[in-house]
Amino acid sequence: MPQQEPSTSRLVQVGLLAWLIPGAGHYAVGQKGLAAVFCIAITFPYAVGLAIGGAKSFASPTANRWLFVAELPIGGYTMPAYLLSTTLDRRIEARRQRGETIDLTEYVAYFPAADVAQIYLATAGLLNILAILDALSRAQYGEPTFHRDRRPAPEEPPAA
Amino acid sequence: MSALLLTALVNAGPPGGLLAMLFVNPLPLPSGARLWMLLPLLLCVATVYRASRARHVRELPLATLLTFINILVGMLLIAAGFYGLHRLVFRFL
Repeated sequence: MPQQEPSTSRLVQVGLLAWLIPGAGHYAVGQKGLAAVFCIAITFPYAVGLAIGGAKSFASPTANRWLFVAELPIGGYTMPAYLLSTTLDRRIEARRQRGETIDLTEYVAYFPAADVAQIYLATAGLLNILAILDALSRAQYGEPTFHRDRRPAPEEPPAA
Repeated sequence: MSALLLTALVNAGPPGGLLAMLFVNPLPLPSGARLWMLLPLLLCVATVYRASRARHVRELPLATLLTFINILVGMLLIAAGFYGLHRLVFRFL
């Protein structure tokens, strides 16, 4: 257990770091090994999902609103992916205006790859919520999120 | 700044730029690979779940493996149950 209760600003800092990059919150509280584990286990499905689906539609709030919401818990990845998506939209629109024929399969995955991409991306986002909560728990109590659930109940004081 | 960088990478075309290669053009997924994609995702889920309960990294490998097997067996049982239900529906309806 930490000797002192951490300040609110410290908790906000840990939460923001964990939101930006998976594992960064754990790194900030000194859990470097767990930070690497969280980073790899969350970055991998996100990168695989985005690579299979393509950034154009799979990091776009207009093309796939609920998927974008599910990706938002990894802010440091989703914001650049969103910028890439808007850049691609502008590029495709410019090509259309030049009269070029656009084959959207060049930029967007369809069934069945689209399903796999969505599941990977949404799972990565939801896993990072768990990582953020765990980083906050470790910053505040010095224990993992679920560890307190396993603590034995305090013993009843002996009857007088 | 990041938008400019991304634009430069995207405009570099498929041969240039790691982002262009990775995230602009979707990677082809062989049809037979769809079910196998479950395994790495399950491993990630098991790892994160166990990591959120662990005090040290050394507790992770065995616990993660057990959780991975638990989830996989559970998913297989659910799939078998639905397959059986599907066969029953076709048999009696």
